[in-house]
Amino acid sequence: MRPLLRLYRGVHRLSHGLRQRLTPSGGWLLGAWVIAGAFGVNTRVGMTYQLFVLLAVAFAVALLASRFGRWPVTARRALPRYATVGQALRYRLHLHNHGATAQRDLVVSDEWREAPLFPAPSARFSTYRQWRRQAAWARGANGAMHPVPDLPPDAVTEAELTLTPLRRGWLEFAALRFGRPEPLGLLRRLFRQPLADRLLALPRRYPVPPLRFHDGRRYQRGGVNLAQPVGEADEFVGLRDYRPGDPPRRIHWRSFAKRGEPVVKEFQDEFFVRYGLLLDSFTAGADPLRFETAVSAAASVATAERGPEALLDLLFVGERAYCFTAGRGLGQTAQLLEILACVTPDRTQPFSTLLALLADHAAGLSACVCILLDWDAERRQLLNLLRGQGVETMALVVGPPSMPPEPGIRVATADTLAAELARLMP
Amino acid sequence: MTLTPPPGLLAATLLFWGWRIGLWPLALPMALVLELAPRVGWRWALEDRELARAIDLSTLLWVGALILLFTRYLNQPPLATHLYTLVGWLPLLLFPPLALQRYSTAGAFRVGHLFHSLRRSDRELARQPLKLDTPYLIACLLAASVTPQANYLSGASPLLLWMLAATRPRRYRWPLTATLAIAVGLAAFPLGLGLHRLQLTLEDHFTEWFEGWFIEVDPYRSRTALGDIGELKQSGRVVLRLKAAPGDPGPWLLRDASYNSYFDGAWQARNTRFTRLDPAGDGREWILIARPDGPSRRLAIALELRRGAGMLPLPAGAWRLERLAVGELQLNNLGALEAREGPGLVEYQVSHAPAAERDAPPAELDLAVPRREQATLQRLALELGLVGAAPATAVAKVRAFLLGQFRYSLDLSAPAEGLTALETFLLRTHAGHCEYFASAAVLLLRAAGVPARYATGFSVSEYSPLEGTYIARRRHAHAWALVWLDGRWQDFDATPPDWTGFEDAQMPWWQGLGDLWSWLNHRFSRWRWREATADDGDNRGWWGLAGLLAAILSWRLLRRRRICRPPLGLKGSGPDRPGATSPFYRVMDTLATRVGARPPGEPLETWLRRIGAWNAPDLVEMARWHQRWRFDPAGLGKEEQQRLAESVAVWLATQDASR
Repeated sequence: MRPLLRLYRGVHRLSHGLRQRLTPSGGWLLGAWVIAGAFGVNTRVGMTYQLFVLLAVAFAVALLASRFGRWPVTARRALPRYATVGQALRYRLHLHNHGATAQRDLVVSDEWREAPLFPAPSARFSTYRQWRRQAAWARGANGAMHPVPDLPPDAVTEAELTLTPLRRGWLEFAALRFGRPEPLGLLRRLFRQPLADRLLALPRRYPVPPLRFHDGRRYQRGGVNLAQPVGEADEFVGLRDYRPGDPPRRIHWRSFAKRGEPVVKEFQDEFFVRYGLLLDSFTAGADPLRFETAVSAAASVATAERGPEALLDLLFVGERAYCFTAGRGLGQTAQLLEILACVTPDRTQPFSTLLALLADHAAGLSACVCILLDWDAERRQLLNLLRGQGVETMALVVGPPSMPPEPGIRVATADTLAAELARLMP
Repeated sequence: MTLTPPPGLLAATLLFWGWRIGLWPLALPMALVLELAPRVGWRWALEDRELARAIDLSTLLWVGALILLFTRYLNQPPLATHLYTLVGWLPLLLFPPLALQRYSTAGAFRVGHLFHSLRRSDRELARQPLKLDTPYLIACLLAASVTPQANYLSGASPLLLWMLAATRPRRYRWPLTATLAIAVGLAAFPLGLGLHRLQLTLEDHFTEWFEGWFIEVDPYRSRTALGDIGELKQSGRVVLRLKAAPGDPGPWLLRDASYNSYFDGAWQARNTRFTRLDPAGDGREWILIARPDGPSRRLAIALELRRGAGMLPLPAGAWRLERLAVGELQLNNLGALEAREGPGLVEYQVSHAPAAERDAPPAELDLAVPRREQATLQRLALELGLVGAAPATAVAKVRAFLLGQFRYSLDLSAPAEGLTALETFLLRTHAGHCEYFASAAVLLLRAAGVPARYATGFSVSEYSPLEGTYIARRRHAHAWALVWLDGRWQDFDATPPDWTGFEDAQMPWWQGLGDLWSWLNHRFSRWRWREATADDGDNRGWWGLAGLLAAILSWRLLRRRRICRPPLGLKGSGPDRPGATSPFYRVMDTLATRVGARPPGEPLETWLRRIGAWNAPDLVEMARWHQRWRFDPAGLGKEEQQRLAESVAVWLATQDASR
């Protein structure tokens, strides 16, 4: 397999290099040169060899001419904070021409640092096309050549570039590559400016109807630190006499001064609407594409409207068990998306870690949306645990399950995910 | 992908191609059609699907051209010749889609039109516009190069340089590009010549090496399958067609060569020499020998010649050939006739008479028995009572011996230990194919002192109702003996007569389809070589079909009534749009040289604000007048136009002064 990979890499490098170095007319003429070479092998049959020689000389002269001239342009990117997988992102490039002559007919492209450790959506590859798709996926985006507006001498000009992220996570920019044509207009000379930047690509998201569950607020044992007091939160209800063990910070000092005896403030217990979003990250043997689909589903649910009172707990197991809470001033949905952009499937922890995590949090949840990667006995146990705590549960199994799921459990694939999410709420 | 050559260049290249290929009467209207497109006011309103159909039509043309050339290749290899022809036809094959592109409202194809897999795709590649102008220009240059006429570079170089100069990057001035382009043209001349010389030098050194690659049918040597192992299988491809005069019942043995020396499974023609024949009459009549006494019969034979050359199968006693259009004909003293410089298909008439003798009389070689088989053959000759018998008796005894005790078989078995293949046949297996029977007959007769030769050719006995002629397939290739009887060479076929049954048992179930294809191919070959076969009138059907298709296409296009006269540019974007002559453009140009051009899509005011020019009140006022002139339906009055022009002049003067 390794020689094949090397061949693929070589072919890709050649075709990518040609695409960057050849102008459109140069591309056509190079094709003609190859054909003329094939037909001009026998110089006695026709005059095709003369066309071959003519084009060979033209390319040689073009190559020589492209060596002249210095590169007076520097650039910097103005990137937004986030991009989203599958959605074209436009960003600006500030170009400074330090030279005394205008620069025209330039093209520019981004050069990416590949993320080799990132799990690919498809582990097996055999054809060149599949390999190329995977390589582009690892880079994170395709680096197409963009035309640059004319750069007047000693001036800063803006150019608009477009990229479409192919995968979630950090997209690492390594450099900018500029192409400048030579006088014959066949070849471009490439100039590389190292320019490292990074951009977080959020998971692909689909519309989800507002989350409305029947069950209401739940008692939050010990309260929720820092949560905004909306609704029946940690509310002040009255004063009472001090009892040993009351924390001194609850002493109402004014009443203490009036009465001469300590009086403490009394608060009502906290009852919040709290939803869980459980992401199954146990992908033993499953297609990595399935996990990507599940992350998309989780991101779509995380951004669904859920009312101002509700908290949303994102529960998943990465290197260890995680629970992130958003809502009521605790955290923004954007932060949940950032987490989902970087979540990786788990390959070391047992499934019981997720059960333990859920057991800790189930008591406080009003409802829970479970994004599962399969349907088997362990997953059924997980849902039973939730139901046993009286948590309203909604499950979505991504990909074809190992065994037929119970009625009411939805099944979605990468193709049907959008439709399933659109009718997630009954 | 959307490069457009400058006006006139495409037409010039097309005419150059026409001049080189010799099709300038065709190239001239094509060039006119392409160049007139910008000047005519109408366009076909073709939808996306119809543009894709146009590509399909062009693909059909390609397929047709490929089938045509492949059929011609079957008749007349080598393949390279036909590939060159295909390249030479490129401008013709690409012309319909290009013309449609130029005369359609779309003005360009999409990459998705080219491939079925991309037609419904939403990939960006499928949506990219594709103009065929530049590839067509290159195709014309390539097609013009396939003829061996000199002066290619003197035409191609200026055309290529014109293209390079016209599409040069804007950052360079034309003298620089032109200088480089001329340098390219000048350097190409000596380098091209050098490359040609290099090939000639290499060929001189490696000629011997090359020659070994091209050994073909050899009238001097015939290797048999004697001693081979396995099963003899030959194809059912029809290779020869024969028409006989009424009353001539057949079957016919048509000999293409005869050999006089046997060694180790191979027959050779030794001490032979070819004599070149001169044509008589209209140049298509060839007299092999003087007209013999007695009545003659005629056979019409149609045969495909590979590369226009090959051995011509003839019946015994052939003395004259008619309607044979070949450049050269040679006859050897063993009666083999070789044609050269001929077409891919020859149809000739043979006159033959029993008394005619084109083979040399017996020589010493015609009695030679190979040393390895000598003992066996002489012992057999004694056993059969051949020695001392009259030639006719010896022939009858050999015939009786071979037909009585031997059977026909296509299974090839290895020679027995210590025996040659022929001895194994004679002593052990008693089974074999025609080469065994012919070789055994010849050598037994020679052992008996009767001169004999080994002949190869075709046994023609199958009648094809489809074609109305007798046909010979490749598996009907046959070998027999020539024996000197009554003062002349006579055919002596010692193979059991049921051998054709064995051969025909090999016929696959699809043979009927193969025959149909072969017949169609033959009809096409006759049309293709109609001058050589003197069979004109056949091509009328083809021209009729082409005319019918053209008529259907024209009717389909006209019936749709989709020829429309759209404005050649959008209102408001052409040179006659309102405000096109606004002097404010000069202000914008001046600003653009300083801070860069306004990006497409950015409104004027946004741009002016972004570059910090919106602070100057005079500029703001001028911009507003300009915008009113451009977009206000009421337009800008003469007086205001005058004031705008004056303001612009003042502003420009200020800028010049400050610089």
